[in-house]
Amino acid sequence: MPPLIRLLDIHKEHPLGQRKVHALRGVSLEIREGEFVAVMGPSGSGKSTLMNLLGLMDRPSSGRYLLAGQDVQQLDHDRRATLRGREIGFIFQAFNLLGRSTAVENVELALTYAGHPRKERRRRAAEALQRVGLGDRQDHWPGQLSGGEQQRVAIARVLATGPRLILADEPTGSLDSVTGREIMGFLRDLNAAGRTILLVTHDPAVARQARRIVSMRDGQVVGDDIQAEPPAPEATPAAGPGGHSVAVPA
Amino acid sequence: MSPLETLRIAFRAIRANLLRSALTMLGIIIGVAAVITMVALGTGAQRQVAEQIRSLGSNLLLIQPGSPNQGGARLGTGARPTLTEEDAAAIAREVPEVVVAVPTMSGAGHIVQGNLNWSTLVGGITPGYLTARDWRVETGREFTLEEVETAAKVVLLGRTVADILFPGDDPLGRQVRLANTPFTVIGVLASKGQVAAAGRDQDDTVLIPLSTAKLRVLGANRLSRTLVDFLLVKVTTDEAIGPAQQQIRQLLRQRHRLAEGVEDDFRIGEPFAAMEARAASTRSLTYLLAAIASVSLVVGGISIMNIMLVSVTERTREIGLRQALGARRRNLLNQFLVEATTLCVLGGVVGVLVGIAAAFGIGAMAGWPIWVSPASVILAVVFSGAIGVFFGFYPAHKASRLDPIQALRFE
Repeated sequence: MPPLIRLLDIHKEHPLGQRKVHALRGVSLEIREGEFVAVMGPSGSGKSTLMNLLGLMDRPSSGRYLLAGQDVQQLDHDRRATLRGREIGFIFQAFNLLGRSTAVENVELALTYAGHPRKERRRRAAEALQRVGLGDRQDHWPGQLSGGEQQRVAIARVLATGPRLILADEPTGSLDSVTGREIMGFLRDLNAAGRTILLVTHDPAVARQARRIVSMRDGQVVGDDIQAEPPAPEATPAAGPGGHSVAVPA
Repeated sequence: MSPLETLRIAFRAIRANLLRSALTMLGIIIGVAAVITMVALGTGAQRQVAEQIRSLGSNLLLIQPGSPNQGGARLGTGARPTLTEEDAAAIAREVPEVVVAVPTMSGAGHIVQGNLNWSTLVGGITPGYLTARDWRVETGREFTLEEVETAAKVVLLGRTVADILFPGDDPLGRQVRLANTPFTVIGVLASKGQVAAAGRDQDDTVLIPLSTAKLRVLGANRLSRTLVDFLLVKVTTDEAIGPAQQQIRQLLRQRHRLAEGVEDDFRIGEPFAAMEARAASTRSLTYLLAAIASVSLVVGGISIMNIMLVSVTERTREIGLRQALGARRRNLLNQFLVEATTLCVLGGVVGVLVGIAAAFGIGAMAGWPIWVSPASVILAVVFSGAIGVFFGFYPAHKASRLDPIQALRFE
């Protein structure tokens, strides 16, 4: 079985005015299905660019990207969108919920584009919200929810489609530490259920909860460590106040 | 994503910015309302004229005796009768475009019934007259050919005369006296109503057979037994009027033995030419006004495009997020296109309602006839939808082409 992600000598240049910014300079990386990887590095190290490439939101200037053995380089815009909707889930620092849609509608969104019928969408979205403990907030607007709750809606959005790869870009960056730990708990549960997770973070404490830490600097991978010990037990959400555990069907 | 789904999203976006949506629609509303009002007023006027022409009888030619020139002094039209029943028969026979040619006499007459009496216009006619005038007998019957040939003492009453002489009574079969002669009422004509252009009540008349008129009512001091006052000629179509006129003129000159260079002793007129011209000019004026009004529709469309562009910019992050969640270009294109089109169609529907209200308001105040044709309503709504598609396309296309990364990062 091929690795879920295989990057071969990826370069990425952004035009910036007259100059070009060389955001990635020859990144090669393999991530197997079921891994929990934290990507660390200072600002401008290229970790966000890497995430965008992995999420099929952007294309590399050169190099190859194989997702589940498939060369996704040659896919057109719409094929990439379809693949993104089906196989990849995003969790953002800014939550990115639609302000004019209710919680359940936000969760439904990806299912809508995947073409599931309305009834099934509503059922799956409601289930996903139930699992993140927001079963009673389905019809709330994002503005009526706290930051932590909004991020839980975002996690429910990922749960509903059940993607193989979850890309979390500073998911706890806008949250207080207690809520942050809760969100990390959900991510670990998702990982335990077999989802591959890539997490970008500044916070070493957050990164330590991953099994593998990839360090980046100046557009290159400068470190790739597998951590022997399991995640710190005091950070499990079951121990935290208001924690919920996520049960993901295999 | 189903069309219904897309429509739901569009309605949500429109509702979310209700004031802005309403203001955006205003351009379309005003444009559609203006077009609907103009067309309703114009069509109303047109139909009124058409109705008048129809009531007088369409495609008619009126042939009157000419104005003779006696020692330099011109006498009035009809001063010397020159037209005969045979002229009418010849026209009907020899000019193919002619449907009927009716010799007619007319004059004032005093009609008495019991202790009621009334002065009215008496027409001496042959049966073709009613065909020429597109006139129906409401109750009773027309003259038979035999009655015309035998100068029977029978009369058809105009609506007004019937109402005056037989108030609340059925005049059929009753006797009236006309020029001291008893006549039997055999029918009442359908009402044609007042005609503004003719300046009189068309129903204030009685019709009797031409032969009877000559013999007993109008013929007493006439020069010849065969002469008539005028000929009424109905031709097949509007286009046939010109050629028919030429042929009739040739024929009558020949029949009246007028040498080359001698003036016509008759006049052929189109009694309703002026009205038809008015109808035509009303029609072109309606089109012109509608065209001017539709300029504001285009302006409305531009404001739709403007707002949609603003909306796309404002919702750049939303677009980026939708792309991240698997939205294809077509999904985004449809989303914004349907939103723009929905705005326009809503505006169109409101505009139609406002336009109809305005048209009836103006009509009631000015006393003008109003006619809102279903076609203009459907066309207005469809056209505003088309404006939505046309002016919504560019913003929607722009939305669908946004780069996902840039869109998601957009502040």
